[in-house]
Amino acid sequence: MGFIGVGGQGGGHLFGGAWTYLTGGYAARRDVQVLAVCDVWRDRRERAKQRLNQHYGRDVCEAYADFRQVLERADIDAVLIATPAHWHAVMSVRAVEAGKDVYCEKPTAVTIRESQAVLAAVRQYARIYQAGTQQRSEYGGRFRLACELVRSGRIGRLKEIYAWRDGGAIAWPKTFAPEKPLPDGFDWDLYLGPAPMFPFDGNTGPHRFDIGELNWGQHHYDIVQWGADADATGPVELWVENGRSCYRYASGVTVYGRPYPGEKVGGNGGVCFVGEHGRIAVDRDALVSEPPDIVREPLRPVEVHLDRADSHSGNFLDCVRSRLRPICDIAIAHRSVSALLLGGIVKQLQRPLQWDPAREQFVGDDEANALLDIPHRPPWQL
Amino acid sequence: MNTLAIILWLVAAPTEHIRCAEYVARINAAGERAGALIADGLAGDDPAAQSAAMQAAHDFYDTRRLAALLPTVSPPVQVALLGLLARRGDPVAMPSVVALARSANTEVRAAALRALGPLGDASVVRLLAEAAANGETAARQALLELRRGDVGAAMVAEWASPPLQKELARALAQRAEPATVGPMMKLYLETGNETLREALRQVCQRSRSAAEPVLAALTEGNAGALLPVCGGLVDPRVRVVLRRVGGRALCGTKDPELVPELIELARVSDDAAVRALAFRAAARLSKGAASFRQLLALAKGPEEKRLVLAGLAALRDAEALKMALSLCEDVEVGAEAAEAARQLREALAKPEWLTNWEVAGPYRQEGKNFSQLFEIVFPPETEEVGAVRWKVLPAESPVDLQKALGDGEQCVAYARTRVLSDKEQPARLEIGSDDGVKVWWNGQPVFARNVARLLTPGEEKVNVTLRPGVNTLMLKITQNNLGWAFCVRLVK
Repeated sequence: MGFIGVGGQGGGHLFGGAWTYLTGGYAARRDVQVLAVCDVWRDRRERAKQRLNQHYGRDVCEAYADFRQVLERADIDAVLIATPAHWHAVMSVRAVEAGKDVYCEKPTAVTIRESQAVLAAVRQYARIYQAGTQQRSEYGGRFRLACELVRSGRIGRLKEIYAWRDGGAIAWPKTFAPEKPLPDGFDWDLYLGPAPMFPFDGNTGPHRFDIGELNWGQHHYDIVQWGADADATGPVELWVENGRSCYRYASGVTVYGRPYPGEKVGGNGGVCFVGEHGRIAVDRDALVSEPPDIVREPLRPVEVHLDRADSHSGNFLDCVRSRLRPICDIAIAHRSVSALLLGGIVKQLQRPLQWDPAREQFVGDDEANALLDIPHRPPWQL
Repeated sequence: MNTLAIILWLVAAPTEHIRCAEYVARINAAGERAGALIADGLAGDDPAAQSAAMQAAHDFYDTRRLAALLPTVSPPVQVALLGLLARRGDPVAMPSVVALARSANTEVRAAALRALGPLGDASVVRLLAEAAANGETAARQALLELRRGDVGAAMVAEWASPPLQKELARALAQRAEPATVGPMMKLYLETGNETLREALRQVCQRSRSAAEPVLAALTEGNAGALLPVCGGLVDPRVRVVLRRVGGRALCGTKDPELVPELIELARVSDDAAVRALAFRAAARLSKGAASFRQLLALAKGPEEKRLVLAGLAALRDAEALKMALSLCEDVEVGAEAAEAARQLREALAKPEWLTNWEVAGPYRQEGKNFSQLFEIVFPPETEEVGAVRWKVLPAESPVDLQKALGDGEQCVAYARTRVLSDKEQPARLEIGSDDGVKVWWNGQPVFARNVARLLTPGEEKVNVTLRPGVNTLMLKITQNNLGWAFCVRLVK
């Protein structure tokens, strides 16, 4: 495997750490050998390379500043992408075009068009794509159980979902700060990638171009989609209510981009499902219901059972071998990130919108449709 | 092929992922022939075509045709295809999957058994249970996932095969299906099988709704079998049976250490019969006034009060006497209370002084002093039934009549008691009185001294004859002024 981006998030995947869900990370797995690490920061990539070679006991891992060099290597089967968000889709497309299977951190893309391009490329090259929305696999299956209970009708007909967070989007900067001296061992051009070139201003964060909830949002909307049985579809109407994006599915289920009033559970990647006969709230820390017995009664064989994976990285690697689609396959990730990004668009426009989830465009609304895409700096067009 | 040709071929040959993309494009463009291309790709040995065909298979609608490919492809592709079919969940694939569930290839067999979870029905219960009993963990998981047909009934039906029971019990316990609990319970009640009992217990613990049939069936009659199953649940039906069954057992005890539990049972039981039994047992076994005090508070009706009084009477305890005295005014059990008090007084009394007295009075007559009153006949002397209200006194001697009847002068009072004797025998009454005293023994006047004086115990000595059984003694004590008291000692 090759690891593209070995900062906090990528380093966590690679070596494990307090926040990760895999002890020892990919480095500790016997079924994976990491042959390449890549980062625009020299210190990071060299440190990661050194640690890996020390771990393997021989010099098997190379360090690269340019991810294209990783993709060129024929002996690399899969890459894990944990770069700043504005790079995710471009790198994913380039990776599958190079024949690599991909595990990519969220958000899957920063625009709907990017996400569609990743989906098309993954399908065209018959590659495996696992989105880094690990809540479908990890955290003791809590999110899966919540969605299974909801889809089994435990709270009656589903009426509302409180997604805790609302929409997110990307925006290239319109004004530039005064230029600063470029740090040694840092590639500003490769950091910016598809973003417009502008003078180095000292901000090298992973989410510097984000608007709203682009970072965490996909986790929440992934569970919204799963619980609403909406993996193959999306919103039909969107609007802003009290400053938060909201939307409705064709099924009539309404999704609010805010916490359920008074419910403490949900902030950590979670949602609250509200049905005719009760509600279920879930996040990484807890699964609760009202009435409380809803979540205490075990799920029966005859109730809805959803795709099960007990390890998100393990599921990815299994699928790399079997060529089956992973639990957070690109089609699912595309719809989850779309729900998030559409919320970002309605927040930018601050007016109700109609969305056609089959054709994936706003109905008769050029202004809104223009926000489905964002220009990419050559050569990073998709 | 010569070396040059090989080099040229290697240079010209597209890399695997490009060939994979080509194959995807061919499948996408193939229309009705897509199925055939998928079949060819999966069955062939080109990894690029296999990879492309497997991805295309995800979107290929004809599950039956995909399942039919299983025998034609290599074991690794079989494993992947089984995974795909399992995820699709279409039961048309079941026969093809069953055929691979006994494959010699370990991975294929495990994948087939795993796939039978979402794809199988009640008909594969035996197959899966046998595989699980042989250590196939995939089969164990599949037994939990089976959802088509009456799986629970099939599991109960397979119970007759002992080698499968452990796996069946594990699956039944974890499935915790309310619909299966009835048949499980019936089988358990018929066989008494411990493995099944444990499975049922787990079901009840796991799910309240699954426990419902057991709770509904629980009676005093089957409590021995079903309480180990559902006795741990907090439920009113369990509570009732536990109190009845546990209570009935408790009520049979002869162990006084269990009196607190019996009293508690009498307090909380909502079963009248058990409550009454517990009350009786507690009254029978209690050895202390504190227990009787609790029982008295719980007593419902005269019968239970009498039980308490009977128990109290057996105590040698001032506290017991106090309780008996408190009941002497009771309309229903006043007589029994008085009797109990008398017995208690007897028991508590020091041997030489009689302490179990009842008194009546004071009696006065206008213009008559104590000396004149000495000769006047008042109702106690006429033995008119109901005319006299006797008051039971605490056990003490000498008896202070001012304390018992209030301060007063120029009056008289009567005091009576009973003395038991097992035989006829001579005895001597030794009497002290403040002031004068008149004595009736077994209804006959035997002594009289009309006088004003201080109390001197044993000042008067009167010989009497004790007859077998009850002997009655009545005194008339006059009061001039100041002290008013008496004491009597029976010397045999």
